[in-house]
Amino acid sequence: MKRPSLRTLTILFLAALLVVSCSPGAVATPTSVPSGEATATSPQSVAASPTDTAAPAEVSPTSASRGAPLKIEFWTLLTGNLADTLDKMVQEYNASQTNVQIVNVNQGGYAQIQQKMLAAVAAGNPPVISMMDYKNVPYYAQAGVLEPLDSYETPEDVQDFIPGLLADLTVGGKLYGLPFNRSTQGFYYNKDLFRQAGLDPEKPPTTWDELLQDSEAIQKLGSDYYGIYATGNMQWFFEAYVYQAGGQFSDADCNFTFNDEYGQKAAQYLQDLVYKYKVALIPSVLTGTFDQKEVEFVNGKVGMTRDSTALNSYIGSVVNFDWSFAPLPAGPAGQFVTSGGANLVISAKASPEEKQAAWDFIRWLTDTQNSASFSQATGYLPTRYSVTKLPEMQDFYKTHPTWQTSVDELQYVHPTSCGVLNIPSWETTMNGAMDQILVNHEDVKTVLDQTVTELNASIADARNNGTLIKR
Amino acid sequence: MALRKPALLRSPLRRADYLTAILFLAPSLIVFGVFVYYALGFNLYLSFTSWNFLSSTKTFIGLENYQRMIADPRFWKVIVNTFYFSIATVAFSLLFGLVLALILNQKMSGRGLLRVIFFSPYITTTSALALLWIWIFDPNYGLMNYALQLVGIGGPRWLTSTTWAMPALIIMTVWKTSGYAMVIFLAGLTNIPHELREAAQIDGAGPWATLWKITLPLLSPTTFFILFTLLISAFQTFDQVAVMTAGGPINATNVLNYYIYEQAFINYKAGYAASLAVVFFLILLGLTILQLRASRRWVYQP
Repeated sequence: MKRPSLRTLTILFLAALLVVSCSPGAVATPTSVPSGEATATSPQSVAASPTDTAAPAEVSPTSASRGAPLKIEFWTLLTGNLADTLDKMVQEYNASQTNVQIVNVNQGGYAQIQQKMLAAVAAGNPPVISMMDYKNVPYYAQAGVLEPLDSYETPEDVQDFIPGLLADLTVGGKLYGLPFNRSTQGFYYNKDLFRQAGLDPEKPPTTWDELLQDSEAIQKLGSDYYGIYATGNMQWFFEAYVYQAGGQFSDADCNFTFNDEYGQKAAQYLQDLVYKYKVALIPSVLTGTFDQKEVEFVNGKVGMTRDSTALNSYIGSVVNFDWSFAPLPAGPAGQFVTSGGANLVISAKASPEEKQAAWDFIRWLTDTQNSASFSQATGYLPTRYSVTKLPEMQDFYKTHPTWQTSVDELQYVHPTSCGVLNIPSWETTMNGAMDQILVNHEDVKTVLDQTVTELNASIADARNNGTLIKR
Repeated sequence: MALRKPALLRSPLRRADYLTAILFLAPSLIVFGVFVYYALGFNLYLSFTSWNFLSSTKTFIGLENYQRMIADPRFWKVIVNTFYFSIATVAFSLLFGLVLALILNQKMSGRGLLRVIFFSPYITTTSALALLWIWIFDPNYGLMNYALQLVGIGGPRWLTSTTWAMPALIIMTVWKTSGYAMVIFLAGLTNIPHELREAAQIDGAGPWATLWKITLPLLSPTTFFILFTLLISAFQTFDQVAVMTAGGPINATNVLNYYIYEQAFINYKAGYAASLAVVFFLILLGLTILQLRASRRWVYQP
């Protein structure tokens, strides 16, 4: 037959539709995810009670007098020992009073919670409380998804939080979240390897030059020894390196500027560690868990590895050598780090009762005492000044000097640049650029110019649409 | 093969018949309607909008997403990657599947166990296998480079090399899907009448001639089926990319399905991702039609 009939084509078309959308591989098709997620989350929200229309009838004063607690859904993203710590705190809160029951739903990680939040917001059904990556807060706040917290808090509340951490959560002069599990950057190092290389294990490098010298000393131990890794989450660290070099990551209009001389100096330094001095190792895998990405460090072949302060509670369980933690070394312009981690936000869609209950809970979770015990158990930063002044914390720091390191670093925390806050694709774009420079040995200036041009086109789009986020 | 309408469709149906038919079809119609066709239609609509998932307004921008796609060098890189990955995995899976099936179709001891071993990767969760293969591809401690070293080859830094990351994913995927091809080929082999091969042997055909003139032609419907199913699943590859490389380094392993995910859920570009999904759908549709038409020429039909 020459020409398939219309009916054959129609059947083919429908069959292809089925094949495309029904096969198990289609997990990531955007059409299927939101609908699937929406149905997956709605039973939870129904069980966890009122997120929308049913709320006013259910949560009348009678429910309180009957003693049925108001259920508040709380999405979390921590994993492993960190998640266990948070679970215990929620249980403690639920046991401490009878009016409100916090139902925590662990979404399994930063990437996962981000996808599920998008789907939940699109479906009009976000959780009352969620943990949220600091970079996402301004974006969600601007879309009207988050409740401004200014009317809840008291001035003493805000003054006590570390200003650098609050700055990332403030959009248009309003505060949209409380810092919770916040971390900053430093590097873990192998003290045994420092000793073998003839270095003082109590004196980790404090400048770019010292880092290079120490790395060279470690590399003399053998051809498969390296001072540090070439990359690994470098899109997060690079901003700090630009500040250390003396630059600004983006200007007052949020246009990226890291292709200037300072950005080039930072990128060149990192590239030289790999190709000129050959002391930095390109990792075996660019994604994955700590013991996969940083397996050579775990095996005692790489002396230092840049990572988050949050690994302080974890690293001892995967390495069997004497280790310590130090702040990122200072560059020509001094010592700077940026922060990472998540915050607590409240849905603007929740009912007033839910919002108040949610506020009471997140206020409790971030109070001085709880921040102190959470920081001790996890290695995350103390988010309040009052935490570091507690006598018990002072004692704790004496026995856990690496925790003290992260406290010392608080003074160097630089707020995230407004360019970064505006571009969700910043991370993938920057990740590619860092791989071009550090893995593929491409010309620093060319790559930075291209990257800045591309990112600034997105900034220009946002400006033209009137959606540019400014603090 | 012009189909004549069955008698039932030619005669006018009574209303009750329609109702009965609709009643029986309703459950699947509703499920497919809501979860498949509605979603597809909505996706098509989204592809003409600019939307960030969060905003309550979806701005209609016509074909702008498609224009951007054509001008997006990453999109073309992703398309090339997708075809590279799909063609290579399908070709090698077919080859290894056929060889395994021919070997394991012989009478030999332990062949049941061997079949199970070769098939088991196919039914194991891809993301779990991907974690395993990250270790195998580790340049310093991995089995792959250890094996290469034994024959005197210094292996590459597989997953962080723009050249070798894609071959690494292809090797892992071929290892996983060859078992599937093998099982279907085995089923196809048992369907080939014994008499044909015997007759050929009586006429003096050696093993090679029997393979080329009898077995492979008679196996072609099976080969076609495997080609069709593997190609479609190769185009939808996502898990191993997400776990082993996240599309990197520098998009060297970014395939269409992962790129859609990245645009939608990491970059918040729902409209652009939707337009990519439409293109994805059209490619698969085109392939399906092409394969069905081509198959008529070379599939053996008794």
